[in-house]
Amino acid sequence: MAYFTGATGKLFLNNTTTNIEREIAAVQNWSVSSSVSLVSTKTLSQTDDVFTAVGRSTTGSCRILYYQENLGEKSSNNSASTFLNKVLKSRDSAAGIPSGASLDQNDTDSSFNTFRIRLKIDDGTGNGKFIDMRVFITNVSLSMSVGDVVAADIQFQCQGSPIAVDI
Amino acid sequence: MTFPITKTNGGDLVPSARTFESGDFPVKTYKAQNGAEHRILYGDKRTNMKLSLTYANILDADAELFLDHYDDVQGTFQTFPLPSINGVNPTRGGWQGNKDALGAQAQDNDYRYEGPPQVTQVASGLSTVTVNLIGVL
Repeated sequence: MAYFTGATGKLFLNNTTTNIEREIAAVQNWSVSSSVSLVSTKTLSQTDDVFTAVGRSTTGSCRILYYQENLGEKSSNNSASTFLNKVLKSRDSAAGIPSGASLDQNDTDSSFNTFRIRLKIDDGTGNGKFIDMRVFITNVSLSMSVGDVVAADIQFQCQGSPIAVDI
Repeated sequence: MTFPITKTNGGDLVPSARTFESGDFPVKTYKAQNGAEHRILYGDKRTNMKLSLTYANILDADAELFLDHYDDVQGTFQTFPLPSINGVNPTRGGWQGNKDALGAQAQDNDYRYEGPPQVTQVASGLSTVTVNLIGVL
């Protein structure tokens, strides 16, 4: 019997155009939660609740450390910056919004506003166990405090159902 | 076509909520100058019962039955009875009192639509239907 700890957890970003996965290096934790919406179909002659499933919502969160590979150089590929820059953006006149910036979270493929991530449990096999999904970041929070490493808390919402699940 | 009481895929179509107002006898009330009230009874049958039935989260195919029935009885024009299956009336589902108390037929009334059925789409393939009926002689 095999159990898994946080040491086997990984988080990948997927470039839609090249389909190349990029592992996010300093992930402290990730979680995913899927909930099903039900509506009651109980009638007057029934005593116990009866339901029909009508929807599903998948959300998640992760905490990623903010670091620099070389001091003074922003590590934009695999640190917290990758996620922060999808939401925190400077004004962009090209977006056509006065004093605004694009809400597009997929910088590499304009056909998607979302981007693709893979939450993975590395069990030693090729792909491991994983959940692939296209997500919107709904909240980013970068916090800094004395005696603690700077990290970003990310919350995301899955667009549609996950693309692939093997867990 | 009778009032829908059977689901398209079988089973009784029982409402999830029901309200019933028992109507009244045809009474005319006069107030005399001295304040006394005089009432004249013009008939011996109670009428004007109001029955509201809500069918929450039913299949669209079942919701369609009410729309079809409303069309068959020419909207609010024709009257119709609420049918039973083996002596059980699904529109009275859950009611454990006397059958006659919660109905219109015992007073020789039939129902007609008070207004068109209201259909609210709540999810893909599921709708909530509310029908308001009124008992008439």
